[in-house]
Amino acid sequence: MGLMFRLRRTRLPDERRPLRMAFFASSMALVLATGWALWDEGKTRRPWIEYQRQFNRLEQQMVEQALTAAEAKFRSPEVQAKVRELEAALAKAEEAIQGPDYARLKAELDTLEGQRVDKAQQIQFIKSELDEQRYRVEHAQFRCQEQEERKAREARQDPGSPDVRKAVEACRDTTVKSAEYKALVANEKALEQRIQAHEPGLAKLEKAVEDKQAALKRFSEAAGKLRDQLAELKAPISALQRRLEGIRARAPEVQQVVIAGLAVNEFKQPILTVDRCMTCHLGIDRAGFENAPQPFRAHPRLEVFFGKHPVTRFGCTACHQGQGSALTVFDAHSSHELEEKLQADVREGLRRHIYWERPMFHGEMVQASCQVCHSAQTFVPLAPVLSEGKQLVAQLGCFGCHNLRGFEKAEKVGPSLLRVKSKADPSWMVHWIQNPKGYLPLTKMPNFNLSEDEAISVSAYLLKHSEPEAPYPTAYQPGSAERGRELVSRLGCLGCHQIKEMESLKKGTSVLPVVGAPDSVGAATAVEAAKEGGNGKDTEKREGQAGAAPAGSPEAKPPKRGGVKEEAPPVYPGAGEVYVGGPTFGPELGQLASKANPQWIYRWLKDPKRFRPKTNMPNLRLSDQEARDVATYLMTLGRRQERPALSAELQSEARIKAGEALIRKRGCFGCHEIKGFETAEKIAPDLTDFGVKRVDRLFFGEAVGVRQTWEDFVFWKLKNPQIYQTALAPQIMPNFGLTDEQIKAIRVFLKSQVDVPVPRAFERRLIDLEAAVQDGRRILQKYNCTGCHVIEGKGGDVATFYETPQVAPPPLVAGHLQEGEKVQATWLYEWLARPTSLRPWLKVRMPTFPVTIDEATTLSKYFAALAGKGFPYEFVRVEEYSPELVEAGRKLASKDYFDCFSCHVQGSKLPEGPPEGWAPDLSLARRRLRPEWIVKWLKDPQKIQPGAKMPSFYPGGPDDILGGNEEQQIIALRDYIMSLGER
Amino acid sequence: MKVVWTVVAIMGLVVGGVVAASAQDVGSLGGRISFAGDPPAKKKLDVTKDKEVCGKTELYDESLVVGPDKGVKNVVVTVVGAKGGKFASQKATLDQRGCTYTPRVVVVPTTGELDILNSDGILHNIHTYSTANPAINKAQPKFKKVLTEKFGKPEIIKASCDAHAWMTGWIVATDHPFVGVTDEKGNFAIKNVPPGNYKVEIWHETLGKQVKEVSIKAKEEAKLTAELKK
Repeated sequence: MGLMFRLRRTRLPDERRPLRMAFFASSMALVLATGWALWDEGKTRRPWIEYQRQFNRLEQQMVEQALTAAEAKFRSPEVQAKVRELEAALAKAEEAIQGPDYARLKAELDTLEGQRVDKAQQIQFIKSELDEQRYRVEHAQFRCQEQEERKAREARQDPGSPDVRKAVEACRDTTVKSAEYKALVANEKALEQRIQAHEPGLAKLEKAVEDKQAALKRFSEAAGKLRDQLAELKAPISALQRRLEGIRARAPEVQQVVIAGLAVNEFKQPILTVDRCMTCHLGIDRAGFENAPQPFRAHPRLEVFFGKHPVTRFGCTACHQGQGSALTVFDAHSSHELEEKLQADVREGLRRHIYWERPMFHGEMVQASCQVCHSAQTFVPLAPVLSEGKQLVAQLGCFGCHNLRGFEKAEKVGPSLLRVKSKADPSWMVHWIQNPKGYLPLTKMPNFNLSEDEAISVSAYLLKHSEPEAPYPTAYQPGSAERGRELVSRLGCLGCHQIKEMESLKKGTSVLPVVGAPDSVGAATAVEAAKEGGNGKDTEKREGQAGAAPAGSPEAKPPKRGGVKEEAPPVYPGAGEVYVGGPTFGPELGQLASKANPQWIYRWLKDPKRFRPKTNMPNLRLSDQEARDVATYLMTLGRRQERPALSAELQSEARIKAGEALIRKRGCFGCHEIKGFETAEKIAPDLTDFGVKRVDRLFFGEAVGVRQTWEDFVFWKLKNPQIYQTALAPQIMPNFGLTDEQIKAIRVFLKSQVDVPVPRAFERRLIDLEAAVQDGRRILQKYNCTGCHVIEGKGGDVATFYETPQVAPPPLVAGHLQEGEKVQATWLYEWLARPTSLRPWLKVRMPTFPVTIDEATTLSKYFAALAGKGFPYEFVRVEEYSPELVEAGRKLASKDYFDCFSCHVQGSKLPEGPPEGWAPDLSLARRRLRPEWIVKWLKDPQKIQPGAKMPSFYPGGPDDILGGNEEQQIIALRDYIMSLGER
Repeated sequence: MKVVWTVVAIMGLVVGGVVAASAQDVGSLGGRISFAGDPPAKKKLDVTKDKEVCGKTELYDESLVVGPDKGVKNVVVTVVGAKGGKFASQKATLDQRGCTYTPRVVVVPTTGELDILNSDGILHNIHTYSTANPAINKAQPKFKKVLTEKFGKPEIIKASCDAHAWMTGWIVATDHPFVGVTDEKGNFAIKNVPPGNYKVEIWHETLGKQVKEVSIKAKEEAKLTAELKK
């Protein structure tokens, strides 16, 4: 080309050189460029337009389908028959309006109307005449005054003088008496009478006119009603048609929300952010799109999520991350998880975003965002994975080595090792440190991958720096292992500790006392209902019970009560939060003899707090003999395995030094109290901003097969803490032996470790009641209350070791049973710190837990809050009990009537018969029970506690007490019971 | 046409048959239930409470009573599927006398009522363990001589008294009258059963359930014997 130009240039002068080709080429280029620019602007840069079109087609299809269905329904014979019927009726109604009846009525109305107007006019005329007459009458009287006053003025006298007044009076008298005046008055009266005579006629006419009008209106009303009914039948169709028109008329348009005040800038000033996600995700907030293809699918659990988090207030990226203002798939999502779901070309685009700070969250990772506003809640109902992660971190004690948000003040999770020497056998200790799960498969203690040599060194340091235990007044002596075994199986130890050889003692008693025979099918159903979402172990139990149905029951049916319509028991939200530690809460004791010595076990059983002040182990108030028996029994479990020549090694100074170095390096003091490490710093990296750590800052070492993403890094690190180890970069984190599910939960929690300032308006703060329940649940978990008691319908597994529910630990909160409604908060508070036996005949024993004052308060408040009772304010009886009522109550409780003390203990007075048949001491009621609960209980014990041994006495009270008034009798019983023990 | 006549004829026969059956062409079922094995030793109950009332006569464990010739008492025999029939009475009575249930097994029509008497004049409570019927646990103090209960669904229901742990009784709620309970010799009799082939259920509280077949002919007494074992 260039050569051509040059050749031509040589032949022709510039001005004559033809540039047709060049002009043509460049204008074509311009046209093409313009075309491309338009196309690019409309298509490439606006992929969302195509999505919107697709969505419109989709919605149109849906609406058309609905329309076809609606039309089909409309065309169906029944509807058509209805339509025809209505139309016929309407035609008839309209015809009636044109018909003779209507015309006649109208004509009559017109005539009546004319008559009415005439009548009214007539009356009006008479009224004018009457007015005239009245004027005359008044004027006749007034004339006197005028006349006399004028006279007085003419005579230059005072017109107000008494003389003048008298003259006026006289004149009036004369006037009134005059025949002329009388005629006037008579005329006035006559006129008034004429009006009165006409008025009924007018009223009648008016009434007639109204009636006719109403009759005429009925015609049009009937037609209108029919028209409405017809329109109603057609309404769905026309609504859908309108919607279709709306869809067709839609123009492509960017959809966006502007969120004010949720995000803040560097200076903590609230700023506006824009989310345009719904430009493509058009069905996100619309019902009916639950199963639509992406990007049009509706948000899962729409009402809950959007109900609590309106899009206009929260937008999308506050939870999902990603780039809210972007309008292309790449720029908006920038997520690794999406890579695999999309085609290769899109994936390539996404890969460019690997270094983004806020890639979009996928699947359960979204729950990490909940933490930002919900950090005050330990359990976020809509974020189960995050909640599980928090729970795991709290249990495993990750914060012992890492700084973590929300765990700044958490206590070390492991037991104190300050006095370990008097407890642990050195040989056992070496074995344990080397492989904790080898001794206790369920222990939280991780594996540090130590060699035997290293384990001996650590043991040497710990034993050397162990304080001696304070002397104890009594000492262990061998007791009866048989008695000890019986005690362990009855006292309630198995609520927290598992002992393998005891599993065979299980009776399979259901956790809850239930309606029907304890071993009937009904029992199983009730347990199922009560333990909604409970642990899977119960399934077998239930099946076992179903098999044992009595021969008499013809078929399995849920139990019913008294034919009364059951009102649902109150349930406090979030019972899923109640943690059920069960028998794996405490260490398994099946190999105890290899670990501990009987002297220590004895002292520990007698007073756990003395050995370790921070322990959760309660004091079972064992007698010396009982403690000896239990210790003797426990020493039959397992066998001591002595390592040869260990004691000499443990004494070696070099060993102790090496042990100290190891403890410092591996951070044992992160979980355990160890002498010499009181002020040691956390050994592992700070994770408070780990959620936004960029991939290029993560060290993958030489690991192969691990994708270079944050998510994969965390997963494999937790799965195998040494995976990124290289010769130069040792990885010292121990292995916790987590399952994949646990790792994923912790990962979500770690993703939430970011510093996002939240405006106060968006913080989920707990109201007093919620905080009380959350704190209470935390303490339930701390002491494993659900190991023995059913609380919020969960736990109580220890009951399986007892023959009947009546001899197992009582349920506290289940169905209509609410401990907080039953007992006085003050009593509960005092009792928790110093429990006394309420049912002394039971073998199971409520131990004394090392609860602090705060914890006892929290628990009392928790139970009160669950029951919706005030705390700490409650019913206190100020006035005296009425002696008549108390006397009536005493009579009712006596042997001649209800014979309460046939079963109930009363102070030192015990009932007849075996203790299994006894019921709680009524003299404790005054301080223990809430009076209004006694009333509720007396009215229907079975409703509160199905299967209770307490029979219902009402309805069916005696007629000869308080006139047979049952309400009064119950009040009398309450007052009597509340007055017991007062003296 | 022929078919129609046949149908009419058959219907006529059926109607005639039913009318006849309700008049006198019914049969009955009688027999004896015995125990296979050695009769258990009589076990005395330990009366631990209200001895002045409950301890008047010695009480024995009646969960399995084997009489002379090994007849088992308190076995419930039910003819399954028999139609018609009338209950002799819509009322049944269960007495609490000497701290035992008399009778131990009581048959109650589902359309009728059970009068629970308290002849002891001490506090009892009637605690039933049922699944088809509502479970009840009602106190029956001294002043309450009679407690009337209904059991609307057919079921064999265990009843006990929480005040006196040894007390156990059984309430047989039934929607037809073809039920018999054996006496101390193990004998039972069920009258006025329409002729036909039936299944018969034999149930005992500790010995469990057996099913037998029996054919009942008009104006004849069918015999049924069975052996129950532990």
